[in-house]
Amino acid sequence: MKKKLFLVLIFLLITVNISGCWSRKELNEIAIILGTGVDYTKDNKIQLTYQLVRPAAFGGGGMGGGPGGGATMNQNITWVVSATGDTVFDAQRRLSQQISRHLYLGHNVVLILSEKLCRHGVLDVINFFHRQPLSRGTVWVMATPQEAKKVLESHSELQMTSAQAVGFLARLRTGYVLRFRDFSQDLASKGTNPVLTRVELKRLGVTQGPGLEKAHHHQEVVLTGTAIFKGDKLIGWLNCPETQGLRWLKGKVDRMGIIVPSPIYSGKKISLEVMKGKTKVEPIYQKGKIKFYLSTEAEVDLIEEQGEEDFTRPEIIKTLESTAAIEIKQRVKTTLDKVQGEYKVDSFGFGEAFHRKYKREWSKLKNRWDEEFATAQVYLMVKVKLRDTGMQGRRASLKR
Amino acid sequence: MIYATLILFIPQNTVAYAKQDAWLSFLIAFAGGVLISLVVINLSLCFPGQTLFEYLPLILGRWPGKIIGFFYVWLFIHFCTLVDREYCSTVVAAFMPETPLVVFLIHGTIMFAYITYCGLEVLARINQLFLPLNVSLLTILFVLATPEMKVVNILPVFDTGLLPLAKSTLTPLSWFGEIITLAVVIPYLAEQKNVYRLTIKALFFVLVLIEIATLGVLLVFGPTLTSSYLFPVLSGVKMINIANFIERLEIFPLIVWITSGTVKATLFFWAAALGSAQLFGLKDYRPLILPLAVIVTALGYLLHPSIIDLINFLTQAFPFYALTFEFIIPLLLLMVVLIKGSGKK
Amino acid sequence: MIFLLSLVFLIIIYLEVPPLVKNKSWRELIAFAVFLWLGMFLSVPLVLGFDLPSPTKAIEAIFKPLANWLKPP
Repeated sequence: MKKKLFLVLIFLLITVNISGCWSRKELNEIAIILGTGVDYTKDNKIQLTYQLVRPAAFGGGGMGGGPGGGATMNQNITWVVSATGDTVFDAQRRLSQQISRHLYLGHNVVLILSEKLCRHGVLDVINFFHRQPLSRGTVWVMATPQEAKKVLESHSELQMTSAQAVGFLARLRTGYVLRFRDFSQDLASKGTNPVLTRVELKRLGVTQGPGLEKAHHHQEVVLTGTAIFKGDKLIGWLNCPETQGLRWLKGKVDRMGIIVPSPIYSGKKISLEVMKGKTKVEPIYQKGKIKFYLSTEAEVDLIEEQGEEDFTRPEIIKTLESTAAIEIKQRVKTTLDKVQGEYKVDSFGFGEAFHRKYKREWSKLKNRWDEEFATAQVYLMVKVKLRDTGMQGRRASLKR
Repeated sequence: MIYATLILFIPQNTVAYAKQDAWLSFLIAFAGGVLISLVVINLSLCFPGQTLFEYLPLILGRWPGKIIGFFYVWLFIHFCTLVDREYCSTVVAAFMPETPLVVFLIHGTIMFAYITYCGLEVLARINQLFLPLNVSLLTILFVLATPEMKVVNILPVFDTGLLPLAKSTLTPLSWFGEIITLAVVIPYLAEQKNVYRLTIKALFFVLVLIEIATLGVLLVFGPTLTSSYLFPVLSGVKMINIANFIERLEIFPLIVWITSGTVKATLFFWAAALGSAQLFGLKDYRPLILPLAVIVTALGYLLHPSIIDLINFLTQAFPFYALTFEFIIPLLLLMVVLIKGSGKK
Repeated sequence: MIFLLSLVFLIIIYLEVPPLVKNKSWRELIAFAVFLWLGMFLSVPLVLGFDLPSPTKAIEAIFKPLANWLKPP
């Protein structure tokens, strides 16, 4: 009898609990956020913009078609909403009063911060994204000289939404990209200053299709360089070529193109692609002077030549390698001059390299590292190795 | 029977003090844990077949022994409550913020009570079932997170100096010291002779698991971010994203947490139930299970107003409080036994 | 809530007490009663909404000097 009672009790408990829907968030009760933008308004308030997915547009059978199941014409896939408030949560609260579902941050792809906010300082807003249990360290963080809201009010031709398009762009490493985790780590570190990817909404290409009378100009979100920070405040931008120099300094150069002048035929160019590259930073601290020796090693592939060099001959390859090395050095120097000379910050993590080697000296230098770094000498050594020459050895049109 | 406690919170203090050397402090704590377990085992072997609660009165005399015994019952109840509360708070803070804490506490204690009712062997079987699962899950997660790891995050080694390193060792040491439960378990072990080897093996195993978690988190986040997170392991697993396909694996550390936490808390619960039964001189501890469950639930709710308070307690006062019972008292007892020559050797 | 809690206590008593009485194991009954009283003492005020002092505070007070030494930098 007693056993039976006990069993009945346990069964009752199980039935109540196994359904476990106290903190439930049903799929049809949430609004999935794909892109987040934060602006700083004129009256010093924070404007939060969410790019929400309209789920009805994602479902259904019409997905068989294009890559990624591109949307059909004239269909609204996303809904971009924004609100202002004193804090991020204040703005979100205002938004959630107007939106019929729970805002769900778990699938957020990008976080775009506007220039005005970055110049004001990002510490005011990013803590929200740290504390939210649903927010992730894998979100791509970017800065834009435009308004973040404007950037999110866009769509993509190939992906379902512009937020996803930026995410894929970042995954392809087409610029210097970093995620929320990297950004927070850089912010917290004394040995480096954070940088952010710069994105812009730019007119890009023309869309055309059957039945369309005239071509439509399309605006797409693209990566256009890097934002340089001092502490949590933005102090300047790097354009695309300078970003390449930054990538060399950070040692993240996979699949980057380099165009070098031909060593033999003047006026002709040669295109190379970096397949593998790394940069080693060796700090030297002598008599109160800081020096950095950088040694970069790169493996490149030949993509095309305009001249008629014969790349079956080892000495030609040697010359090309040294020309490429000079070109890379030039790139790096331009970036260094701008960041170290003009902005006077260490965006490259050299301070951390210094910390690793000189533990004791670091504790004295760490609080005025940027000033110390501005006076530091940086020496550069580049070694390039030509790995492959594509499908050809020498040009077919070469006159023998 | 294999006895292993799994500890998956990485104490913030350890990282805050030792920074990138936190993994070292766990190594040192392991050595301390071995020392503690040697004391406990030696003490137990002086009184074969008897638990801590039975030989305490033999060493100290009837009443002082019983009083110290009741302290130990409290200690086990407290440990059990703490573990219960840690896991429940994790679930509430990280996964289900709308659900009241007490719901999870009640579930937890019902489970402990039922397993304890079934006896130590069932507990050991549960551990046998979950341990391989947990170990493989942790290892797989570590491997999956390797693309996110950077070796520079744990460099330079020995950056913080000896005193911070020593301070950072205390909290993990007090957790290794929970091996004091051995004093109650040893009489029930199937192989009495191998107890040294088994214990060291179990401790080493725990060490490996902790190092997997600690090193993994440090390599992914570096010391500053790690010490700012409440649940670094969880945040670390959130970083896993392989080909936009294998991602959102947070449920797996939760599985590890809950299963291992259940085993650990139940062991303490069992020790408390058995201990109080032996102190009262009862033949069976089962009548005491349900009242104890009520106490654990109420205490779980009462002990700490918030998770921050819980973590502060665990990292500041707890090491000294726990080590008093885990190391100092057993050591004194052992000394008394050796001097008086009581017990059968 | 208080009714639910009383129900829980009644069920516990119903489950445990009759066999103890039947077997005349009075020692067990006393221990059971002691712990049940403790449990009631802790849980009833909680349900009724009284603030009980947390035992943690006592432990923290005892080990305060040492614990302060361990405060993070």
